[in-house]
This record gives sequence, structure tokens and C-alpha cells, in this order.
Amino acid sequence: MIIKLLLTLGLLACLVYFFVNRAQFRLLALSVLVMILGGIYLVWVPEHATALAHQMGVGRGADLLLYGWVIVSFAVILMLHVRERRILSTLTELVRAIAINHPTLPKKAP
Amino acid sequence: MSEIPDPSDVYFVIAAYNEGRAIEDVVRTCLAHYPHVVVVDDGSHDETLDAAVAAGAIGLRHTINLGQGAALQTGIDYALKAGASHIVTFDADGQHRIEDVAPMLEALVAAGAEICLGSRFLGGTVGMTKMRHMILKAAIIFTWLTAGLKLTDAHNGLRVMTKKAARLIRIRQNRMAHASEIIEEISRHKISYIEHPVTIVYTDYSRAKGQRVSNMINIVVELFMGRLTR
Repeated sequence: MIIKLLLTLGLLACLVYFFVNRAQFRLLALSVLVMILGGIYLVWVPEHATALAHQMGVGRGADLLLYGWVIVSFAVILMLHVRERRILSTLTELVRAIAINHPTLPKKAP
Repeated sequence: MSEIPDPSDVYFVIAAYNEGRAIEDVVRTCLAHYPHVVVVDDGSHDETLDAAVAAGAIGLRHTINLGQGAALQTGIDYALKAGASHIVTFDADGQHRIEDVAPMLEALVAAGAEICLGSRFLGGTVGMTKMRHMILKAAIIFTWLTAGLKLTDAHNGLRVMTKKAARLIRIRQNRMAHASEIIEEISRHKISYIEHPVTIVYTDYSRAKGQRVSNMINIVVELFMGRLTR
């Protein structure tokens, strides 16, 4: 019972965070909401998770969630990596522009 | 463009990261033959920029360390803006010989090509270790497979290019993968290229700074991730 309360609290914290920052989620908004609410639902009615798992050919509801979690994690890591590269590329242009516009010239003219 | 360019139209681009010890001599050596040397200090923690400028180079500074590829691109952009007709990329650690540059320029003009790549395997090497030899040969095969160019030396920092080639080549790989990327760019834009023998002088100093096996893996990963996100 304690684990259910902990999980629910965690997911509710996500829900609060989501509503505070919902403007930033944009396209992802609905899927995030569904995941949080679905998560709370499955915490309290785990039989449904197991039933869903059986339909998909997985033994236990918990296993199904774990597999889903792995897929989502990989997607998030890849997204973050792509974003990091994009930020790095912007940063490179910025640093380059500063460097080119502020050359240190030698004292005696070459 | 069939005449050998005037030295004052040739810009040297040297990317330097914590090369305070070696950069001064390298800059002075270059300046003895060519009046324009651009040193890009890639966020060094030592006196690289001051030493380069004191020696007579134009100093550009990356406020943070971005890698050799990014630094070369910055220097090339600056040289193009300054009106260079030809650009020479030169390593900061003193492993290249200035005497190789003039014959490379001549060969470039004679062949009517846009870029001349230095090759230590056509030329000579002084003090190369067996391990380094193997790494470099592996790099050549890698380049052949990925870019379709069969070169004798894929990772030589000494290159002479026309402004036309310099404008076409865009180095997006900030770190060490830029050497392979330059070759891919040559292949992609169908830039006419030649190779020319050069002598690399390996010293304990340059050896400590060169490519390592762990770096090779990083280069492959960088190139792969670059393709994913391009």
C-alpha cells in the first residue's frame, strides 16, 4: 500500500509540474497527460495492467510497463542528444562570430 | 588561376589549444615566408593567444573550447573575409615543415586543382611509431569506405586550398572528426584535389598530442551521430 501512495504522489507531482509548464510541452502535452493519468490509474487497478499485458503477449503488467519505459527512455535520450547537438551548433556559430569580430592584431603591422 | 599566388594572398590558419610552448616558433617560421598567419586559440588555459600575437600572428579567440575542427573553420572564415586567395592549414605543434608549402602551392596551380592534401606516406616521416602507422593506415581505409576517396594519408593537417574550395568546405564536426569530414566535403562537392608528399617531424611534444586509439572510436561515433542529425 505504501508503494501505491509513493507512486501516486510522484505522478501527482508530475501532474502539477505539467500544469505549471504546460505551455512548453505543446505537441507532447496530450500524451504526457495520458501517461500521467494512465499511470495513476494502473497503480490503483493493477489487474487492468496485467490484462493489457496478456493481450499483448507479456506475462505481467509490471513487465509491460518496464518494456514501455525502456522504449520511452531511449526515445528521450535520442531526442536530448539531437537537441544537444543543435545547441552546440548554435553555440559554435556564436563563439565563431565573437572570435572573428574581435581579432587581436599583432603590434607591428605585418 | 594559373599563376602561383603572391605570398601576401596566402593565409595560414593554425588551430591551437594549449600550445603556448610551441606556437611561437611555428608562427615565426611561417611568418618568415608568408605575411599572414591566423592563429585560432580554441579556449586555451595557457598563454597561447598572447604568444601567437607576440610572434606576429593575427589572434582569434574562442571563448570556450570547441575543438580543432571548429577552430579551423573560424580561421578559414576569417581568412576568406580578409581576402585570401589561398589558405594553408597548418598544425600548431610544429610537426609540419614550412618548406613543404611552396611546392604544394606550385603543384596545386600546376594541376589546376582546388585543394592539395599533404601526404606523409608519399613523403617522409621522422620518428613515427608503429602504433601510429597502423592507426593512420586504418584511417585511410575508413576514408576510402565512407567518402569514396582513395588517399594515401587521410589525417594530415597540412593542406593548401583555393578560396573556392575553402568556401565549399564546411566543417561541422567540431572535434577530431573534421579531418574525415573535410575529405567527405571534397567528395560531396567534387572538389578537384591532389596529394603532395610532405615530411612530418614527430617529436615527443607532437606525439603526445596526436591521435590515439581511443580517439579513433570517438571519431567514428562523431561522424555517425553527425549523419543522424544533419
